Order: sequence, then structure tokens, then C-alpha cells
Amino acid sequence: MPEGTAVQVSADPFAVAAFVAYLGVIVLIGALSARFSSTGVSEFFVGGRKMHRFVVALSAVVSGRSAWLLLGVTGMAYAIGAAAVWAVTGYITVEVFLFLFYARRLRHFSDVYDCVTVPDFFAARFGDRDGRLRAVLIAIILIFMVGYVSSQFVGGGKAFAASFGISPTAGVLLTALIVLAYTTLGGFLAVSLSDTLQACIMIIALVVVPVVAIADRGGLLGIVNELRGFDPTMINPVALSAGVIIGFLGIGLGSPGNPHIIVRYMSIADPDQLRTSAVVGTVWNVVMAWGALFIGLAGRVYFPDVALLPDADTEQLYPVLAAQHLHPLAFGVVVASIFAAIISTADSQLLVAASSVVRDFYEKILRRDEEVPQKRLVLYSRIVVVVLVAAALVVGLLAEALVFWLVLFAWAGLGASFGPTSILALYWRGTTRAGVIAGLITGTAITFIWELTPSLSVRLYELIPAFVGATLVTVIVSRLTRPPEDVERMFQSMRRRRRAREPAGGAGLSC
Amino acid sequence: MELSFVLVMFVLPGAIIGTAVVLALLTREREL
Repeated sequence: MPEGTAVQVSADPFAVAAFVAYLGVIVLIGALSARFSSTGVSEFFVGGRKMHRFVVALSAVVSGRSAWLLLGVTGMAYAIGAAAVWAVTGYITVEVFLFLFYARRLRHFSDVYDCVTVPDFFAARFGDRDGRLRAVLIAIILIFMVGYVSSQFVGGGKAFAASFGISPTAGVLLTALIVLAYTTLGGFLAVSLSDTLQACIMIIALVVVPVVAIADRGGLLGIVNELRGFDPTMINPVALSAGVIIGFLGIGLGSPGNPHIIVRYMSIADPDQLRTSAVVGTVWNVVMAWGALFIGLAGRVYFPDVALLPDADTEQLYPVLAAQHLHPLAFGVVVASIFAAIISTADSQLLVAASSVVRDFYEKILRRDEEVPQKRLVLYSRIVVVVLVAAALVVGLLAEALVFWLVLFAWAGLGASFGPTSILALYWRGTTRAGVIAGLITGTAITFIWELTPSLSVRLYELIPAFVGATLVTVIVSRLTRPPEDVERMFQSMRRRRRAREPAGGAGLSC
Repeated sequence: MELSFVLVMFVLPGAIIGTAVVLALLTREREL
């Protein structure tokens, strides 16, 4: 490679064949899941709570990891070295505790009160008869999720353009079409099964690429020695200020508040199996994250100057390094892993947004006094998925800059609003509906204000102050108001081991 | 190889997985 000339990735028939095969399998999963998901709204949005422990583990993990892990973390490790480790340590640690503690309580409660969505959980927990709490939850989900899905489509379009040389607009349309096809057909089951397959593709690619790249350069010692000679801070994990490290670790606060991750926990067939899911999910999270870190470190040795990467973009490192070191067929799998990360997040977010419209708004607010046939709800759900894809496409194609501005704090906004309120709802009997509404609004407001104030956003990631603010406001307002009368019975239902469904409407609190 | 590098790149991931395994075993028969 001539010095100073950026490498370019070009399409190869083998790579295209591997990628097309992957897409075919994803769409096939959607088609095969269609019959099960057509049964009812519970099947379409939460897989009838029949998901296997491995499916829950892997789909929860990859739904939370978008292209940020494969392109962003690799690029970050390339730029700042081993200190990028703090960006992955926070969320992995938090998710261990979510799987083992938070998820079990949520799953038990969801079963007893027949909750299909995260707003369903809040509505049942706080006896939200007039739908006010549910309306706030729906608004927050839609505000953040449409932009979030748009950003995934735009990311997919860019990856298509970089890998196969088609126009970014065509790439965005293709990404949206693929997600639309299997999500509309197969609902939650298709999304979870395809996420599981995509988790396998991602972990294989994130192990093979760094191993081959490091081996080709004389092993790990060789890479470390070259990095030390090049810039000693590259192998110093504490070469950042305490504020930056805390900000990186704070990314983990978003995990308990992102409904597309939380709903995975509600879908497991047997809550006791969440212990296995915790171990499997953690192994997957760790291997994928450290694979991404090693790609960044090895990449810096191969491309000491960022100008050597296409468009001098550190996020191009992963596909470029893979194209250099792997057979085109294996490179096709690497490209598939980027799409896997993108669409495994987009499909989950799409379903959560659709469920908030059909289940939470239409069924539980607009038609709350009527019995709507399940088949009709599934039909409406599919129509809403199509409409949401169209809306995300419009946002993605017309306002690309806005999309990336939105995604910067979508994780933070959802995390700061849903995170503290759901944790308090599960663990503190004194939590009230008014406290939760105040906490949700505070978390969202601080996220926006912090992000829009440059003097604040450059100092600390907005999720941390927003999370703390929402927690404080929820506790203070809850102290000033009265918790639901039968809170003790609700806490018992969080610990219940087996199915003991409440009589429908008997307590007036079922979802 | 620097100790801090070895700790975060090799010991830390093992410690996180180990913590998950130990907690999963400890919570086996307990209601949480």
C-alpha cells in the first residue's frame, strides 16, 4: 500500500454471495415466524413469553449494541487506545445485574399482570386507570425511537455504499426494506430468532478479524511493542481524565431504560432460566467488546495515520482491516456482521415503537372499554410497522444531520427516563405514579437541555446528570404523594415463581 | 507488557464473566 494513499474496499462476487445468503436466511426466518406471530398481540410483541434462555440472552445483548460497537468502539480504540475499554465496561457490568435481578422481578410481574409492553408494566404497577402515565411513556418512546430507527437505516445505507459501491440512498432503502420484510411478517419471534443468528455472526467476525490481524503482525507482543514505540498512551488504559472515564462508564446507565432491551427480559419462558441467560449474555458482551477493542489497537499499527483510512474516517477501520486480511467470502460475513448489528437494533426498536402505538395507545387508551379482536390488533400492528418504517425513512433521507444529532442522546434520553423510574418501581414500595411521571419528564428534559448546552455537554455525558436528576425527582415527588394501596401484593407478584395469573380485572390493575 | 494494560485487556473481562457466573450460582435458590 503506497504511503499516504487511503485504501478502498471494493465489491467481490464471493463477498456479495455471502451477504446475500445472510439476507436470505433473515427473510426466511421472518416468513417462518409469521404464523405464530399472527395469533395475537402478545405473540406479535413479546413472543407469547415463550422465548428460550439463549434467544433471550443473545437478542437482549445485540439489540442494545448497534453499529456503535463494530464501527464506533473499533474507531475509538484506534483513536485513543486501551482507554476505550471504559466505554464498554459500564454497560456490560450493568447488564449482568439486569439479567440476574431486575429482569426476574419484571418477568414475574409481567406474567401475573399479563403485561406485553414496558408501558403495560408501569400502568399495572401504578394503577394507571386514566392512561395519563401511559400517554407520557408513549410520547417518550416515539420521540426517541423514530430518530433512533432512522439513524440505523442511514448507518445501513452508508455501510452498503462503503462495502458494495451502491448509492447511500439506495442503501438506506434496501436496509429499510429488509427490516420491514421480516419484522412485519414475523414480529417478535422473527426479530428474536434473527437477533440470535446475528449475534453469532457478530461474535465470529469480532473474534476472527482481530486474531488474524494480530497474528499477521507477529502476535500480541509485536502489536503492543509497535504501539508503545508509536505512542505510549495507546497502551495506557488510564490516559484519560476522571471525568471522561466516568462519562464512559455512565453509558451503562442507559441499559435499564431502553425498552427494546427490557422487553427481551419479559419474553423468557421460564424466569429462573435468566441466570443462564446472564452468563451467556455476559460472555457474548465481553467477547464482542474486547474483540472490537483489539481491532482498534491492531488497526492503529496497520494504519498509523488516519489519512490512510477511506475519508480519513476511523469508523471505516473494521471493514478495511477485514478486507485486507480475509478471503472475500469471509469479508462478506464481516459486512453481514455490520448489518447484523444495525438491523438487530432497528427491528427491536421498531417493534417497541409499534407496540406503543397499537397496544398502549389504540388498545389501552383509545379502545380501553372495548374488546378488540386479537387478529385485528396484529393486522394494525403490521400496518403501524410499515408506517413507522416510512416515517423513519423520511426522517433519515431528508434530515440526515438531524438523525445523527438525535441518536446522540436517544440512548441517554430513554435511559434517563425509563431507567431510574423502572428500577424504583421494581424495588421501592414508596414509588408513586406522580413520582414516575415527574421522573420521566425530568429525565427527558435534562437530556435535551444538557445536550443543547455546549458548556455542559462537553464536560459530561448527558445521561449521568439526567439519570441522577430523574432519580431525585421521582423519590421527592413520591415522598409527597401516596403509593398504590395494594403495593404489597404487587411486590409479592414480583417474587412469584410460577404462573398465578390474577383474575382479569379483578384487582383493576391488570394490563 | 505494562501491568495496567494486562489488567484491563485480560484480567478485567475474565473478572466480569467470573462475577456473572458466581452471582448466577449464588442466586440459584433465592427469591430476588
